[in-house]
Amino acid sequence: MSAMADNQSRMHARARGESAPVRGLLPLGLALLLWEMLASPNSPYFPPPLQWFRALEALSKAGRLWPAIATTLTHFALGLLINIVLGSALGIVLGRSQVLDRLLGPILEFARTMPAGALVPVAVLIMGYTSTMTLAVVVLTSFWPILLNTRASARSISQDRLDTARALHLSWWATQCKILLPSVVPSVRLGTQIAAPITLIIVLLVEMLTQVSGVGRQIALAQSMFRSASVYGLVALTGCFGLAVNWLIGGLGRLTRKYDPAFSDGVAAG
Amino acid sequence: MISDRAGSVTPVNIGVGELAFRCRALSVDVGQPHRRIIEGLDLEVPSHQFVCVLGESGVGKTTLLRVFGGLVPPAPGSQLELNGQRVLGPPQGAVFVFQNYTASLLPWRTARRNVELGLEASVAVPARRARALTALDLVGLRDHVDDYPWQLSGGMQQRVQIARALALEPKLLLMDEPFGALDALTRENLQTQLHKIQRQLGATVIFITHDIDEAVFLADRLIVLKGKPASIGLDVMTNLPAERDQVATKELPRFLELRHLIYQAVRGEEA
Amino acid sequence: MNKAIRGINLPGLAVMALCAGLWELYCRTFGSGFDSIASTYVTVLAIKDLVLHGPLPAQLAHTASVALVGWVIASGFGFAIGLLLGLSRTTWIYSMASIEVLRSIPSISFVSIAVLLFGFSAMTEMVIVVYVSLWPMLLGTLSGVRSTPGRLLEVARVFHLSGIATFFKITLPAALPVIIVGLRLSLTLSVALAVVAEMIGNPAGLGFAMVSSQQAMQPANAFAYLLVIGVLGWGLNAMFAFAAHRLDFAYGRPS
Repeated sequence: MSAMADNQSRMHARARGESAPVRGLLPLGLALLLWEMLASPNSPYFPPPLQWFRALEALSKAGRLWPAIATTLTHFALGLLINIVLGSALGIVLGRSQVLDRLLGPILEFARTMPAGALVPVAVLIMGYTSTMTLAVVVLTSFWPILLNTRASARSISQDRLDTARALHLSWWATQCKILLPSVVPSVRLGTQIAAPITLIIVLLVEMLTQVSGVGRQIALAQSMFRSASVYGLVALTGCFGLAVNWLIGGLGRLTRKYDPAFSDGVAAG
Repeated sequence: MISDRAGSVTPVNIGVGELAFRCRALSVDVGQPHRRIIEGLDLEVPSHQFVCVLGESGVGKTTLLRVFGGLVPPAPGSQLELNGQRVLGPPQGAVFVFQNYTASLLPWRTARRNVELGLEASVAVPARRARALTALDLVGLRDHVDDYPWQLSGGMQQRVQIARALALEPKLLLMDEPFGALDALTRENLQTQLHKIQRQLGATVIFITHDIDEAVFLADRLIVLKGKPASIGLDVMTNLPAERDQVATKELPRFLELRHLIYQAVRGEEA
Repeated sequence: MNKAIRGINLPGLAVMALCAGLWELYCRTFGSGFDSIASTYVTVLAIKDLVLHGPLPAQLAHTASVALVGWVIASGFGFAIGLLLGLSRTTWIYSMASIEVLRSIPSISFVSIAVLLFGFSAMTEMVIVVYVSLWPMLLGTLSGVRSTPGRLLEVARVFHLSGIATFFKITLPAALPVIIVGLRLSLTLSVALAVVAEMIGNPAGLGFAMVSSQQAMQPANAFAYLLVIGVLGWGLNAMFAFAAHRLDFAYGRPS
């Protein structure tokens, strides 16, 4: 009767911060194995995993793989960096100035809810097929988590903390650097953790839509030439990027831990 | 006859039919690897008795209460019975009241619906509303039955939790420092209220607190947990008048005597 | 509704109008040499034209319906799978790691796979929308159901609630806020991916129209479609926020 509730209770006692056991890779591993065994190497729609490697190898030999990877990763890194700087700066400004927040509210709201891909054609019209265009679209669509989180945090800095700065006669600049900035670090980090995967996605999206350079372009190209093994291989490659981004996100958390006194590990224990 | 000397335990003479709760050789292990925090505890609580359990922070009061409440299993070899039935999980007829009232109320339910939660497993729909309203009336929240927890003060939220417990008309009430998170004034009000309600309903209560004044004020019987692993260090009847008053009772010589006794027992000083 | 009206941000809207005016000014002065941009006035005219004489209403209907239908389907699947993973420890143990790997793959990559498998069709668009929008709902439901406050589960035990009662009275309501967030994110993705799918995989709807305008060097139309898409995204978001608003009161965040 209450057995299930007991069971749930025990389960939730361990749920917090628990990482998925490696056994969970079984379904995926099994699926790939079956795919490898059952699909014909020449299958047009479902080439087996080994073919993906061969396709990537061929791309690499043709000198098309690594430059593409470099381009994508560069766009990602630059995009994320700009996101952090712009997002946190704007977030702080909007968080501390109610007037500006109110004035810019509707415009930012409209920009924020704009479906990501829609910006690309117009951006191309305005800026052409350039890296600047790519970065502009990437930033405008993926810096929002950082902005919103920083804004919320900047808004709610405890008055005690600000009064401390005044009591110590800190200059405006010193207040910003020593009190304000460290206070918003946790939310900038949280925003970055949310924004990073989005940044990667938008970079690939822009590359796919504009087909100028990068892994996105290679995927679109392979798809248009019906080279399915290349498509799957490149998709798997982007998966590796994704995992790398996840790892980065985790590392970010550990790095900035000393700035969150209020954050505890995992979900509230109730 | 009870001995008041700190360190000696004399069981109360209990008529068999009156026994509400008992444990024998109760031991509790916690943590990985297992650490024994309670060793060989014997306790018999007759019906209608208000027992307060005190002890220093970390001695294991809350864990002990949770074992009584069936939320934590005791070590093998322990015997735990409520109304003659072995306690294997939260027992029928007993209700646990938690210290963190906000965390134990459902934030998306009004006060009345929160009180009804306890009744939903055992009481038919028509009777639920009436019983919930009666319970809320008993704790003085008649005007707030349709408020959500966030609209209520800390003291009121705790009263909702108590009402939820009382709605079941439990034989045994287990209370884990229920007033610990409240301010002094609210605490005193709730102590007075709880005492009245307990006398009115005749419930058996095991009440944990670290506040000596609170314990002596409320209790018929005081128990002090001591030691590592913990066991009963002091077990004494208060023998205070049935009617308790926040000012008058606290000026009684017996009150001061008990206070002194408990303080020494908790601190481990010689009498 | 009164609150919504009271909350209209007039200064903010004025700023928006100002920006539109500045853009108009720029286009007439410094920007007059560029033939790849369209001024505010020209854009508005284009919208009017497309609505009255053109295919815009049909395209809008197409994109909106694909987004909404896809969202509902994706939410349903996401909710079901999330529940399964959240409630059954065995399932969780033996599949969570795979899910983590799958979800690390940037969802955009699957657009190409969908086009590969289903060609340029409405099916492609729907598959893309459903697959991508599924994730926020799945993860939100999973997270919500797994993080029921331990104290509330103990309360369930104290009051002898059955497993099913515990689920419906405690686990699910406690998870609702997170699930709502998942629903909102799913909706956002549905709209975005419907547009992207129309740009790459299905020659229909607003996305396709926009890309066609850009490629045909018709900036007025391209800007027009951008505005319409923006309003669609904003509108659906606002409607959702309005609907979910009611919950705030019950969960302790009055506005």
